[in-house]
Amino acid sequence: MKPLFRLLQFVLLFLLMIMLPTWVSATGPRIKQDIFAPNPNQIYALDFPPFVTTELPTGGIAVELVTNLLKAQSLDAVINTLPVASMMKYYLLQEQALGLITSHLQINKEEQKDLIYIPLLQIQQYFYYFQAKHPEGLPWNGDLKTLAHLSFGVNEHENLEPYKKAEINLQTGKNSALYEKLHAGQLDFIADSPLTVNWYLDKHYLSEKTQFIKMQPKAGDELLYLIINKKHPQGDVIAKQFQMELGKMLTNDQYNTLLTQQLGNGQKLTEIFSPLPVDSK
Amino acid sequence: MCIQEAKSCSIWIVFLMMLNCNVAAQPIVILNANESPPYWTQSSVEGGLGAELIQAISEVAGLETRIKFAPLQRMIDDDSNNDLGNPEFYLPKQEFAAVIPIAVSQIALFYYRPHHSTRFDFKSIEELKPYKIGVLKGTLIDRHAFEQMGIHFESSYAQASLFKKLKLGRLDLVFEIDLVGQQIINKVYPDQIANFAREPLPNSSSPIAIMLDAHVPDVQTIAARYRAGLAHIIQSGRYQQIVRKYYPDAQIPEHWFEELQHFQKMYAFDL
Repeated sequence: MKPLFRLLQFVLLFLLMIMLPTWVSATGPRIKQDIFAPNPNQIYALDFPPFVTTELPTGGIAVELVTNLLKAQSLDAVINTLPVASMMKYYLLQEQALGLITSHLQINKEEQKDLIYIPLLQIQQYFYYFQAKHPEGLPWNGDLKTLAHLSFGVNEHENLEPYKKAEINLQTGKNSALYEKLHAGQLDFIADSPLTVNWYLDKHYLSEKTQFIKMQPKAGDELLYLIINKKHPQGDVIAKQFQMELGKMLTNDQYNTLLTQQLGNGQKLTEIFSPLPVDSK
Repeated sequence: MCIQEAKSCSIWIVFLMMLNCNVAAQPIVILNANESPPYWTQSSVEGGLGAELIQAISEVAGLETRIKFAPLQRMIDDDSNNDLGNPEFYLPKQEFAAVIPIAVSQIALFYYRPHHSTRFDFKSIEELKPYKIGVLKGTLIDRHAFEQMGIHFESSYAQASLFKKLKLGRLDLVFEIDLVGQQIINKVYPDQIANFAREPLPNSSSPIAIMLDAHVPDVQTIAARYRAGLAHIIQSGRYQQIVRKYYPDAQIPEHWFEELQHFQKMYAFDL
């Protein structure tokens, strides 16, 4: 009886150790860098793992890139990761934040006039389907019309027009929900960066990872921007500093070196990113 | 009529209209909370500060609200329930039709006076470098950035042990939710309260909110009734009465209502 009791004790202790950090974090203080005094230079980034995420010590690939640009120009700013686009819009439009790191931002043309878009990363996107639902695969050949009448899971902030034109059935939702629906057979395909797909599959569907099939050719590219607010008192000046530093990093190859370090595992840069538009230099 | 009176009147009119429309039907709303005293707890009849506010709001709004306790991870994973707590935990996964901040929590810096002759008045995070600082495990967002600055934190699994280490001199400073810290000191060291100093940090507030799932029937009407109920209990003073009860010094933290309004604006913005 004694060994059984000890085993039970051990199991309970182990379970407690696993559960406790999650449980306590809900009531604990969230300690951020600008806790004593608000930094006037606030940058908000939309959660998009592994490019923007608080789960990586660097804050994600895009955040690390911006952190390096800030350091190189001796700029003092704080980068905050937010879960939803509406919060970013609030900080930008209502509190005149310095900038945003994001790819999608649905705001009107009048508001866009006050923003400076600096391309940071051109991320390759691929379509993925779940093999259990489509054992024969899907007929994708680069023409969206080949996917007509299939269900496509997409973020509502993306440009949906090309898909509508191709008569693809659209289902919008948050990333995690789209992966769940794809797995459950409620969607035929989704589009994402292979890095993001791996991130979600490793976390939630590790044993079925090989069933999520990447389709060739690539679906397109997604530009991730640093968007600087001209209404911020230092907006124009800081935007120029960022553009100059990014241009330097692109010219001396520091940009590629930094991204290669971030990718790790011998992953090739050209498999994940496309070159930035020419005028970024 | 002054602006304040006009505002008060309009809140009453909206509230009475809503009450009138809904006398016949009292919808039951189930909200999930996780055990996190003193905000949400099953260990007291009242259920904690948040639970008391919810019941007071529901009473005047003509809604029957039931709080069901669940582990945090289950609440986060369930993307069809209604949640209570800090929206940042739930928004990445779930679509909500309404997020209604009802209270705020603020961080304070605690230290043990007998070990430090002067009052701490930090202006920047870098000033923390020489000190041993305690935090609750899992609550440090920018650990990497802090470590790069040369600031190191010691994590602890239990909140009470942070304060024990503070008293023993094994830690110089502890970051903790202001109300949680005050209650721990009251409970663990009731005869030492004056020896524990606390400096609330104004730039550290988080909202405590009602989050209503996007697929709840008639969700906008329910949200409007919660909002009107909240405005009503603030106006009547019932809200302040409840909050004061939980602070050992019976003082509502400075800027509480400004912060609350700020969060209400943020979460009403194009959600």
